Amino acid sequence: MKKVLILLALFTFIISCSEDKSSNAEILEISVNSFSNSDLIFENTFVDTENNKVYLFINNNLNDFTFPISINANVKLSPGAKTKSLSSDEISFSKADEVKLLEVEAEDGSLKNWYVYLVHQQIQNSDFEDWFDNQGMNSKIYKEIGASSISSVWATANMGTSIYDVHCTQPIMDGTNTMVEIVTGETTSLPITTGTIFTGLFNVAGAISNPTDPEKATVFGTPFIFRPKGFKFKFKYQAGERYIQATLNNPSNIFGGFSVTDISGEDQCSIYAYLEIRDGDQITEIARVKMESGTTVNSLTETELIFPYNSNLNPTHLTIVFSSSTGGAEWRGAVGSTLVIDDLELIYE
Amino acid sequence: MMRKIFALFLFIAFIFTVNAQERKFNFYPNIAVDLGGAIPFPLSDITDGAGGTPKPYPSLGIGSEYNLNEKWQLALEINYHLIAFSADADVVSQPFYWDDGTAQYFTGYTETDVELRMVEFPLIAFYQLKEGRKFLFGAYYSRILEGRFDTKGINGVLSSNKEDTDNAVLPGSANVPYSFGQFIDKYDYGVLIGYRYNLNHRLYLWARLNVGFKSIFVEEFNNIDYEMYQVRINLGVSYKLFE
Repeated sequence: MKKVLILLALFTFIISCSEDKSSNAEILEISVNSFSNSDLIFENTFVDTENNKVYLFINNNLNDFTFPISINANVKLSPGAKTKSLSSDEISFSKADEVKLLEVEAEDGSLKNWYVYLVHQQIQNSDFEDWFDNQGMNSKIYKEIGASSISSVWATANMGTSIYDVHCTQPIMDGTNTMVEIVTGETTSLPITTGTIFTGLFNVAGAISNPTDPEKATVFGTPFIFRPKGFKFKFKYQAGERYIQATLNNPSNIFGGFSVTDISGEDQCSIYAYLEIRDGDQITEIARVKMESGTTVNSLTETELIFPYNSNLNPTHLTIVFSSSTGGAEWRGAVGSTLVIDDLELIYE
Repeated sequence: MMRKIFALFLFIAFIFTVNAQERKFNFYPNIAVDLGGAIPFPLSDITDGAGGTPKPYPSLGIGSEYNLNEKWQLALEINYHLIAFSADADVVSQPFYWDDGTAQYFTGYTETDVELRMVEFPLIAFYQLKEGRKFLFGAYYSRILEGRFDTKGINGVLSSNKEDTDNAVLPGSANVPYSFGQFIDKYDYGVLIGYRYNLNHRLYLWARLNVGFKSIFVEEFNNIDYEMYQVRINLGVSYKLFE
């Protein structure tokens, strides 16, 4: 009887030990000790546990620096977890837009991928030179903004309209310079699909679940903690000829189709940006600027927009949106309206 | 409508209960388990390799039965059901139609989760086969209180051009959710057959097969190729309150 009890106790101990192994592979905190370049000014870090992303904020314009840059950092992980892809505390970046993969192995051996971003005074790929080949939902390859889907802080609605083999936001070349061409288009089911490019994420699930509510497809904003005075960019614009309003035939049925009517006036492009402080569910907007114009601009023209701040605080997120039709979210615009943009730059005092 | 049906049932149950002393009427609570859900119709729309998993949930109810003679009885019940099931299938060029006649096609793996909460009013006839064993059949009407019908296309190809999905190379990049909950109708009706075994004079065990006669979706929902009909097995026990 005593042997049975001892065996039972041993068995219970083994079971309890094996159950104790944690599957947590979180990055709890990251702190920067030093940079390989002493001119770099470390500002803060932000761990986005929802999307497994880590942002290191550096208060410089990294486009002015020589790479690679190494960062000595302490990464605090879940108890028992370890990084697989980090042999020391050094994280080396070969360019400002590079995103480093950190594989974190939990105590029970399960793996989680984390991505480390450098955020500096300029938005990555704001000259819009980088594009990558992406597979659309219809399995065809199209061009998407950024170096990869993981690394890009810019997004378009191309994936959503790839069902129809329509891609409203595409790169165009002028010599060796790449610009963004944003066009208002149409598909077999949607009489108008506004082209757009914005900082944030395109939510395919939101687009499919709510095909008649374009705003459900966008998650605006990228982490950003600096206070630019404003931003400048080059653009040209040509409104499409037939200005229309599409109306849902049956608002209670999202698949009910549209009726199209011609409306007076002309299409306008929309360019706007805002800075927010996000603290959990509480969002406070501290600056917003918007430009809408239907004027034809035939050659690339530089324009500057200034943020009218209503707070002295620093933001946590920045959203910049370029759209070829300002009424796109309400299914209003002109097919063929074309906005070309290039060389976005945040400006500081 | 719901309130009227409920009031009518209470009235009938009251009459039955009042007359219970005559032993022509009985009054009983039910507790049961539902297995099943809804299946596509026509059945040819069920793809090879498709699978379904019913999620068993208890149902509760009350009923009154009336003894017509030694062989026959009639019963009216009111039962609350939660029916849930999941299904998965590999599909090729499954169409999804917009009302304007255009379509999208999906090729890939699909997962579907369905849940229906409802109050059911079955009218049941019992025929005694031999002592304590009864064949039962009847019809039911149910009010759907809440419905969920969510489908996910996973790692597939989604296109408005059927050629793309006919020739799809998987896995694709389309991971798309569809929710048809808003198209689930408010009511359902159908027939039921089953068997009841009297464990003793008060306790009955029974099994029923319920088959819906209408699609669970509203009539206007013509966006998919097939309709869905309720099919479920109900295993339960009843306890006769008066003897």
